[in-house]
Amino acid sequence: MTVKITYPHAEKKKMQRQDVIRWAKWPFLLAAAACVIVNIAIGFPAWCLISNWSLWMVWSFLISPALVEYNRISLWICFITHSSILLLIIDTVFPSGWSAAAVPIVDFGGLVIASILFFTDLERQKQNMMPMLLLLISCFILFASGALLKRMNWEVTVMGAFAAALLAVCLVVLKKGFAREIIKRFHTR
Amino acid sequence: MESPFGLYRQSLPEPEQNKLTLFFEDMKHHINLGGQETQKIRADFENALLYYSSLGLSLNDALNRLSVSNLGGFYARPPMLWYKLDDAAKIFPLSMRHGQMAVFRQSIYLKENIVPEILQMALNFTIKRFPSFATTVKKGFFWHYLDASKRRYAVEPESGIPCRPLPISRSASQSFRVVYYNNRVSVEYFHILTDGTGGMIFLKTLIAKYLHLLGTEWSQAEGILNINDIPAKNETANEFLRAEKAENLSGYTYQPALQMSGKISKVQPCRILHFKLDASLLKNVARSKNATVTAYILALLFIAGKSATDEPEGEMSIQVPVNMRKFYPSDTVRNFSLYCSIRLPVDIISDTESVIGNISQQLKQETSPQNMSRMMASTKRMGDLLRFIPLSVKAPAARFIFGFLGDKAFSNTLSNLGVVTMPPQMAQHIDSMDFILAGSCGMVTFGNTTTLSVAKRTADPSFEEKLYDLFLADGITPAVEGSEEYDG
Repeated sequence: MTVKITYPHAEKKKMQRQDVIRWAKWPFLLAAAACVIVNIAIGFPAWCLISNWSLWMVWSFLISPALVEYNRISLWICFITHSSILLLIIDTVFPSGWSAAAVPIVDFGGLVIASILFFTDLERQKQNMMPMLLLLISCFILFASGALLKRMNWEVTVMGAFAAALLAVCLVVLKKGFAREIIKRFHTR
Repeated sequence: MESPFGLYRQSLPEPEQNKLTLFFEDMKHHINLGGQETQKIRADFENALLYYSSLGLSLNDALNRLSVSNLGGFYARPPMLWYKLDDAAKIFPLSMRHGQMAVFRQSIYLKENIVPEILQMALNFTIKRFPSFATTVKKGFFWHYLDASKRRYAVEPESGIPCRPLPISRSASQSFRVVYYNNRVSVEYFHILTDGTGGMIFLKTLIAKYLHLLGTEWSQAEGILNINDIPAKNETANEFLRAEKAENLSGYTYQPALQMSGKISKVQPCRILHFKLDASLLKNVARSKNATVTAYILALLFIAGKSATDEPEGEMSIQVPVNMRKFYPSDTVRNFSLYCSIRLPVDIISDTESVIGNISQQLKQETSPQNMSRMMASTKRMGDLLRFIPLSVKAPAARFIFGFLGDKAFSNTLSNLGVVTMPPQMAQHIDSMDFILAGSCGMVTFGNTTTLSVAKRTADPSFEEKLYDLFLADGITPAVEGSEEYDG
């Protein structure tokens, strides 16, 4: 059987993303398991939570990033959310209470950068509003929790106020587009 | 230094220069994209005009052919539309992984080499007629969806491996690609957008516009859309919503099937092969065996598949996509196909005659309207059941299940698009067509050429060698074309 070649020669990339995932998967799983085992052997505090969350962050940002919606806003918001969770875990494992100030500061900073990224390229980025909206909702929840638990500090207040202002600006600027974006993002069929 | 178009412009008499100025002014009114995108579309017009000038076409004729009214309002209006995924498309973004995506490809081979400048203009004009294609995949809280994306969709020279995954993660990234190589134009689609029938309508419409820009006049024909018509709502409908409630739901039962024994290649597909067959001879051979062409080809695939596996027992299963438009007439260009499965125990597979009756009977039974309607109802019901589960839960579960079962449920797939026709004025410029399904077999007939395409997953050549011998034994001599081995 003679095959007439009718396709151009395709240059094969030396290392594809799936190769990186294939190679990195087992070292990552082994490292995570080793952390848990060593932690259990040594005893408290449960520092393996910190190491495993950090491993997850490296995995999801560098090794196996999102296949859909990997844009600058979603990437940034994801980083801020993961970092906030990491800070909360660290403060839970080694309790000293500093996360009550640190997390709102990080989230506030995250929102500032996200809003700059969003409003400087509004026409294109308004289709990427959802991750920022989710961070806004998280900030409101944090703010409400602070109020309910009577653990309000200036950091939480500033974060909550900025989130509210940002939401208001989004509503004013996007108008009907805001509602449309919500309908798109939360459709169930 | 003056650009080639600048030099061309200067070479024109003043009235014609003015005509050009007015033309590009008019073009500006039709485009409201970012500066760079507008520049790119302007450059497309300039390149096309240069090409026409090189042919000696008068400026008037060139401007008529490239009339900016063909742009419509597509590039002038902001993106507003969005599309929920149809029920068949929902699985595709859920099951994809890095390096693994449900992509299929359709190609048309012309008798002359492709003119990239004209193909680009044909795409610029055609895309507006397919609003569900001019979209980008987005993630909702419960489901993915398609969000309108206004941009210049580019044609590219073919350089990579066919059916490789499309980079859909960036803002406004497209879910299809148009590539050209010598005399071939190919469109590769992420299955989320469309199925084989919808894809063929897009490709035929694109080629029709391309040939029209090159001066071919033709009358409207079936399966080719008039690019200046307003897209109808039913062309982007999710036709699965028409499913009637069925008491006995069917489909989606999992039984593992025998797989070819060769080592799965790291590069997918690792080779493309096209068996170009004489269509009338093929039909006669199938008729002589009291079978349809699909049943006959399935019989050959079972026998060739058996020769490529070392397993002495078990069942081989070939997935056969079924166009639901046969049962529910529809104009939709989105997914509206399901599949059935033809299964045979490996030990009864010996020669064509011994299996073809069984295959024909299964095909008739499995693709009956009742069976397919039940499957359609199951597909819709599955979507309904999962509708309130957040995507962040559904996606990893689907990836796990699909990764575990997906590749093992079928030994092979045969998707037969059937006979594709074109108006005679266009058909005279077309040589043949092909249809590639990643990791499977696709078949399409144009004129008197049936092309059976195999997208190989293993480097082991026994499958295609056996297939070739089987054709020869039945008096059909295939012309075999294809790619080099990509994993070599």
